[in-house]
Amino acid sequence: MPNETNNIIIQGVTDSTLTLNVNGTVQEIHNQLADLKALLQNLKAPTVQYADKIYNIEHINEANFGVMTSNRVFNGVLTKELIHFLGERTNARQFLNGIPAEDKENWECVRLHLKEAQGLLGDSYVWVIGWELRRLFSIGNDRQKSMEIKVDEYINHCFSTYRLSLQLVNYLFLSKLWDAKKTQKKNIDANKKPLTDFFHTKRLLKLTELRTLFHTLLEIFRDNDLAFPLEEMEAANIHPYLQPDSAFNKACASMEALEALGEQGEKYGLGHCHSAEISLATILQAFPFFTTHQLVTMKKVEYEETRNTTPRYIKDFSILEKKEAQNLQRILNYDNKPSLTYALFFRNGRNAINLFPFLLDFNALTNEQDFQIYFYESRNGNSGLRYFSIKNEKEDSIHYRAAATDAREILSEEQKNAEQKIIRLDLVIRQFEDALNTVLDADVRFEAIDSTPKVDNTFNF
Amino acid sequence: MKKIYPFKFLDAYQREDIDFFFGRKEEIEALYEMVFQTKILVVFGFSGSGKTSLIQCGLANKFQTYDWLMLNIRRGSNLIASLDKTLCQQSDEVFAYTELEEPVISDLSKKIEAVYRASFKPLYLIFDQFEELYILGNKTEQERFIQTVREILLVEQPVKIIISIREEYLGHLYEFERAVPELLRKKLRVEPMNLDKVKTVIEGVGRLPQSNVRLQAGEEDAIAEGIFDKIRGEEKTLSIQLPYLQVFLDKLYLQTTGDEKREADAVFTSAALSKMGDIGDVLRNFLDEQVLLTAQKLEQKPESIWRILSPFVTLEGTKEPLAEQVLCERLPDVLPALVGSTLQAFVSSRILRYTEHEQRYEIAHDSLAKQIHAKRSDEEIAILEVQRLVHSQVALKAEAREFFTEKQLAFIEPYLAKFKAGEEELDWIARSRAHVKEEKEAEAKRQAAELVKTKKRLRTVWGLLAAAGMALLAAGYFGYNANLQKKAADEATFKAEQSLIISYNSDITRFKGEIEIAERNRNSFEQYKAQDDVIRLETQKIDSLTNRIDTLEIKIKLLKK
Repeated sequence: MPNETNNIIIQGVTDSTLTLNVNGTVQEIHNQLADLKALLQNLKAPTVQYADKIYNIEHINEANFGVMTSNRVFNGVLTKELIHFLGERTNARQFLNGIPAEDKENWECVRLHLKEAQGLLGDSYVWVIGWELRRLFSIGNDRQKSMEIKVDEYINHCFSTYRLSLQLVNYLFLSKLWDAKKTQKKNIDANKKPLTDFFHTKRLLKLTELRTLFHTLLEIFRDNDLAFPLEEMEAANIHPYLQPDSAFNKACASMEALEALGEQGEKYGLGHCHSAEISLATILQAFPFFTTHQLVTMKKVEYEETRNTTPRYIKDFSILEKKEAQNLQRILNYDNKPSLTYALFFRNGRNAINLFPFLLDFNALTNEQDFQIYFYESRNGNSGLRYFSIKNEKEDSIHYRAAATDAREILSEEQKNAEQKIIRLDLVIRQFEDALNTVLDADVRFEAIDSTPKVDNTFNF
Repeated sequence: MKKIYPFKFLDAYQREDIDFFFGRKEEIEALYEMVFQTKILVVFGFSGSGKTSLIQCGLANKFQTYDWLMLNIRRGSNLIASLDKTLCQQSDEVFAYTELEEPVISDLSKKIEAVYRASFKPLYLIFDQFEELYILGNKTEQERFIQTVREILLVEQPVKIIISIREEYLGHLYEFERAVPELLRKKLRVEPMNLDKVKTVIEGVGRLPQSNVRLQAGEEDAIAEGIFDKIRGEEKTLSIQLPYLQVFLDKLYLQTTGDEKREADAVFTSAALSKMGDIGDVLRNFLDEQVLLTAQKLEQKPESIWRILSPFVTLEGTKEPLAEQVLCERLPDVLPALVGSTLQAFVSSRILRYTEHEQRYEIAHDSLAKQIHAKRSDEEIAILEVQRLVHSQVALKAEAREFFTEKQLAFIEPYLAKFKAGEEELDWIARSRAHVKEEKEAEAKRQAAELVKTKKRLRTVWGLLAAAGMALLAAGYFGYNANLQKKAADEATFKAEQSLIISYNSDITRFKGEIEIAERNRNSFEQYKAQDDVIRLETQKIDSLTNRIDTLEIKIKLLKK
């Protein structure tokens, strides 16, 4: 019979030691699961408390011991799950084959292997998700940060990775639906509440609302026999996404419940992080196309046509991912096919879906170098759209200014750039307006905001 | 709540100082925006404009810790070596730093990857006080650095580069920009603090609940304006330098509270401010005070302490970071223990700053460097010039070096004992001496040989002159004789010629007679229809005689000539 009266609390954790309070007496042991288990067995105690959570020793294994007691393997579960999910991909296989036999079982507990695997994951996922995974790994690996801040940052980034995953998938479907309604002229009824909410909301949608939107979009595609945006997600295999008790939906529900806990004011602990990490791993595994597609930003397309020749288009675009040791690529391509400007494509070799204006590269629109990916969040009044910038995690709004596009005299390159910038940002609103009106069969017009553009106090030469 | 002293004195503001960092909101926003628009950018401004604080505190705080890994790189002894050392230190023990005589970074991309994987944070390489590359570095170091930057811009990991440089050195970036055209596409000028910003700083600090400094209620504007006026002095400039503001506020605090620990609460008043001198007095007094205090504490003369500070300042009056050992080498006649104690004293008084990473000391700010420079004697300046002359020559590869000239050696010699030249430097001076000596000896030999040659040449000339004289006399004698003989010969020739002419003329007369006879014969033969042969013979005879007459007439003409 276990001795239920023994009260064991973990008071402090370092890389090498655990400081325990055993019935009021402070004691130090090695920071090893075997040592902790031995102590609990000696005291016949089935549980141990750390922070405000009580853990059953039977449920603690090498994989979650680190999560429970220290930051050493904060990302262990997520990393291990995703690497095994990548499975037969060359780089993942090479990595797994290269692990020494003695480390094979719990390789995620070995810092060297963990980091290599995390580097590999960051490079394998489509940029937005790879960037969020990078943040999770960074938070998990930070040894300077207090546990409280770390837990908070970690769990919030599990939520944001989940949010961005759902948004990305939803935008793939919405883009495809918009094109279908525009080009196929089919009588598709998309005027459903989740879609109306999405197009009209002036607040950030909750995770549950985003999942409902995802389900609705799947149903519209299935019911109207529309071509799905991705080969990996077709009518025949969408069941797991819709079935309430599927692993995917359970993981989503778990994540949403955790978010709700925070909204109710509950303080997050390591246990919550662990749950969030497991759920996120399941969710990401449900979207395998995140590891087979790239984000490509089409910055500028120039046109050339000389006498008696066919026109050609000079396409200046960047592939955001670095796959197989390829650097972030900026490519200048000459060909005879016209292309969409300022587009942001989700593509692989066979398929390319333009996500603009739900996703956009703000730097392409403002004629700047590098890239800044913005995710659509909600409307901002009757004149603007609110976006979330992935790189700086800030909200930014784009407002409709109804910029004149008639011929005018240009006195300097700076003036041309400034005017073009406003015209291009107006395009964002116009495109969103068209998507809204096409998908919902509506007639909404954004109002022009009456203000002068932001003063640019940077030096452009 | 425990109150905190809000001023940084001569130190830059760091990430954790954000609560006390006022007056740079617009610049922070502009810089933050730029960081997302390029991979490399330049922050420039005059010394003391607050570039370092803007980056290390203002910009750093715009980022979450998981999105910002700042590697602050100062030149130290070599910028490439400093970057390499920083990368190795941050690589989670994947790479160990090896000091090289000619610094180059091997495995640069792998080192950056290792640094990135150690934290999974985007890297921000901040090259602070970049002008040092041009003040203290040589051409090779500058070129290698440009090459290194080009390589960094190609790595796969998220890396951004920020170059912080004093405005007056911006022109030095010309070559850099040619190699990296995007270098100056995005740049931010950090303006010196104007009155409005100074007010924001002073009033902001006074309002902070955790600050132990307050402004007298109702006098806030007057105090801020008064401080601004004192710092800009009589020049009435529209802006002031941040370090001066910091030093001034520190002095005002000390004057108000007298608390060296800076823990007591202080209320700044207009009355207390009016008792303060202007910034020039404050800086001079501060440095003088600290030197005097240190001299007293170490039982030395103040001049000895000034001498220990002097090597930290370049000939131009800017900072030169030095390791303790190098300082001792530059001051061979000062005990290393005294050097060590002085360094510690100045670190405590914040005149010197010690960087653990570089293991070097440096003057906390250029404003103090200027004051130290102004204190230098002519001899100190001469020693520094000599040092620079010697260092600059020896820094070159042996095959590129030039020996010191006799004039340069004359400048170097008197000060040689006053700074500890390195073995290689002494060797080069000795070789220069030997070279000068050899050159001199060779010159003397050459001159002696020239003299011998000249004398010989002179002798030859005299001999030739004598021979010429003799020849002249002989020529005169023989000439006279020859003249007489020539006269006789001429007369004889004339006579002979005259007789020849007579003879030729008689021949011509004779030949003419014969031609007359032959012509008569020919006419007769033609008349009597003689045989052709006979006629032809007579014609031939006439022609032949005519030719002979022509020849003789020519001869006569020549003789007459």
